[in-house]
Amino acid sequence: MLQRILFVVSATGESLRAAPIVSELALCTNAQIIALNVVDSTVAQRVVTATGSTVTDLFVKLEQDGWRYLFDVEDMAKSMGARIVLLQDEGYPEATVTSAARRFKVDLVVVPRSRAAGMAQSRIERMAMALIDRLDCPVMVV
Amino acid sequence: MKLSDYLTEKTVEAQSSISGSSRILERLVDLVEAPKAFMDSATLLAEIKQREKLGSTGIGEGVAIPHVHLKDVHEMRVAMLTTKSPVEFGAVDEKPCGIFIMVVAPDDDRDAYLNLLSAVSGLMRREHVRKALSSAASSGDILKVLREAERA
Repeated sequence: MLQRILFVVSATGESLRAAPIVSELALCTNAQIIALNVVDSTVAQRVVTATGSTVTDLFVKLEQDGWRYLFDVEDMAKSMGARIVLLQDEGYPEATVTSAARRFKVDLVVVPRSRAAGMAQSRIERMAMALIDRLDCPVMVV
Repeated sequence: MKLSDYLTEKTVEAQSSISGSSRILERLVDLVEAPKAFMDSATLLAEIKQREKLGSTGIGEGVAIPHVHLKDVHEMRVAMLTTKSPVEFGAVDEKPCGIFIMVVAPDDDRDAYLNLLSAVSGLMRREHVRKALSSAASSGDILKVLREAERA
């Protein structure tokens, strides 16, 4: 029986599309959703180099964008009656999600798929494969 | 947006002896001075408890951020409390919490709400900040720790 579902929330519409599915799954199994947004520090460094913004400014923007989507996911889960906890962390996404999954002893990790082509899509696929390799619990792409 | 901008010595309590998650929430509602901004304390407490039922706002590493956004609220209110001994709060990492930050925000100002929560989340990820807050002896010391951390 699922007790905890780790839902990886990216600052994209795909997370909002996946949120009702995750909420429904949580309701069916009486599981708690742990919605985790990871501020990708590698992306931040690359953007800083390319744009000349400061690291602090960029991190603040990424954190705020992340919270925006976390709140939207929370609202959706709440409206369906699902239990949810919101978290934000920073680091390399695969490693951070793996660490969170182990630390919180989750039963399932859900990763929203990207409808984008090319690099964005392969990034999601890489994350899902990395999580499958590292974790004992199932990984679901929605 | 800085957490310390929303706190005063009146809305911060250090080294509280309160135990029990329910009493912690009651004390935070007292500190946040609900009637000044909006609603009566009993209604706010009910809303906060309802949010906690959905899922603990204990985000791990001893920190909890009970938060609500409500349509009857007309200004953002924040309160903070640290406890002498950590309290069982149903946190996601199953560790007790010793740092509590309550955020009550207007429903129609989501941007300010999420900006503040992201600022709080960023601060609380730093272990040295959490340690300094946990050991701060007074509300003045807590505010000092926050201001120094926000400058860094």
